[in-house]
Amino acid sequence: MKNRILIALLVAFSACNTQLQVKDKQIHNTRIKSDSIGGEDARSKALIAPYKLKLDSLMNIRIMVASADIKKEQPEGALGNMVCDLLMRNVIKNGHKPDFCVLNNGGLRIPTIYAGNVYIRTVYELMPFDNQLVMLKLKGSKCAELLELIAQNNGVPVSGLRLVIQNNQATAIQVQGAAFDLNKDYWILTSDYLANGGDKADALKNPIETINLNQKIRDVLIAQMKEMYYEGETLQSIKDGRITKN
Amino acid sequence: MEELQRIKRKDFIKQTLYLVGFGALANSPVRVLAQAKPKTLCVLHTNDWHSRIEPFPLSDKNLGGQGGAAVRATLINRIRQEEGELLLLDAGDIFQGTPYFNFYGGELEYKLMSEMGYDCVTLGNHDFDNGIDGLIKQMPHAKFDFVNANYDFSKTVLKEKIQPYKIYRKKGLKIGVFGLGIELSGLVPENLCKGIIYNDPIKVANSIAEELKLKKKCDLVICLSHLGYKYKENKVSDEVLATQTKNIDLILGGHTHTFLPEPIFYENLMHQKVIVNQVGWAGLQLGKLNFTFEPFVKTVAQVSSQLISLTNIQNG
Repeated sequence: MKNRILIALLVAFSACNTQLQVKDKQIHNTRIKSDSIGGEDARSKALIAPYKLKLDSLMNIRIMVASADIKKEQPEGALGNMVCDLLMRNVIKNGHKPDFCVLNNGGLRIPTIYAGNVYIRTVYELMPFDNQLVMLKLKGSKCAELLELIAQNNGVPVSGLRLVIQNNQATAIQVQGAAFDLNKDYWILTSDYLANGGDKADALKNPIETINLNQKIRDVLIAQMKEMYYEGETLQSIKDGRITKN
Repeated sequence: MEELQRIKRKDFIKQTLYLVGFGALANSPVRVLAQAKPKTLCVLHTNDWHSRIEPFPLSDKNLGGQGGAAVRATLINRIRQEEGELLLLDAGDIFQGTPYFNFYGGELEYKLMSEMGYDCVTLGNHDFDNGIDGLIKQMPHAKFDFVNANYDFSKTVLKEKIQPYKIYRKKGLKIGVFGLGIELSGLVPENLCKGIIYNDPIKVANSIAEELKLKKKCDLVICLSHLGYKYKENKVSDEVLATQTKNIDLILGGHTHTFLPEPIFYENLMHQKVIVNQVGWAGLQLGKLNFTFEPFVKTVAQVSSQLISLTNIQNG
């Protein structure tokens, strides 16, 4: 009998599993400066060196100067404005007629382009994805769905479009200065990512017509900046109230 | 503080006296001796590195000079000298964000992580940015394991390359590490992740964690999660995972780029503690958690956490 109890206890004990019965919790946060621990690891640095050398030669090329800090913000941000405005300019210059441009917040991957030199590297970091430009012809009703999505997302990068977000809805909508017309078809300039339904942009699926511009958004931005810089323009930080919130 | 320690010691002695009898019988004398001292396991972790090989450029007013793989490597080497055997983990989105990825496809990221001695990583949505083929192409450069339990890869070429979990033995302890990924549909273009079937992370986590804890008898069960820390909307996250499961001890997260000031303690379905941590993004910080296991009883009595921010600014 004694033995049985012992065995039962042993079984019970061995079946007992690790638990976090934390009695003591210690939290230390530290900031470590590289020189305090002996700088960069030589082996890792040597591993990086050949890759860095090639990249630097391709990336550290100045293509533009920003006249002020250009920030990503919502509902409207100068960074989103700048990107969409440049894309519209480039595409219109090449003979296309988009009514407005829409991108997504997640597509802009740095929070600020700081005043000063803008390098090819800057644009790569702003837009690392290999997304391509597409033009979609959409029914007014589908556009309205898209505009609602813009409002629900608390504003996204746009150009050629003005709207006021009221109770999570798009109101006072203007396209190229004219009131939005539900019975009209519109040409939208956007990324293939959104056109394929990315970021829940289902309204962009099944358009009346699609034109693949077969250019990466990043490459178009770089080309457009180079050209503007060559012509003596700098990059401005512009917020013109295209999307406001009531 | 001394008072606290005295109470703790009293508690400890009471507990051990009670259990020592059985423990001594259950274990051979050699093992008892070997286990007599508490063991401390160090877990280091990163998430959402996003190809930040170099520190942020000095022109960046907020982050200039911070981060950088070569400084992280120095730090990890130093911690290894102090701690001995440890676990080095990453919760995904190693790829995408700097031209290093555009030009080299993640090759250098994997090489550097191999050099640093990473044990195990899970996959983030951006790790599919060059498609399944782009991921497989870089795997030969990775001398570490890939885990994910809630993507069904059986219809893809990844099926042999990624395991649901891995078990590691460090300092005589058995640690189970499994991975969970976010729903890819809507985040990753379909042609880049074709054939991967997403399964409910909570369901999967419960069955895998049970296997690791109860069947495989792991001393610690760690989930590498790319679900995101938490959301305003009703969406599965590390917080949901922590509270809706059992048998997980530690969730190391990613995706939401959350800089948690310290690890968050939750209670699981069985009212046991679960720790959730996430260390921002870009290799700006290294998370360090030390678990001290009491001898005999195999409970974790102490958890200490250190959040280490890296900066490359000299004399800054």
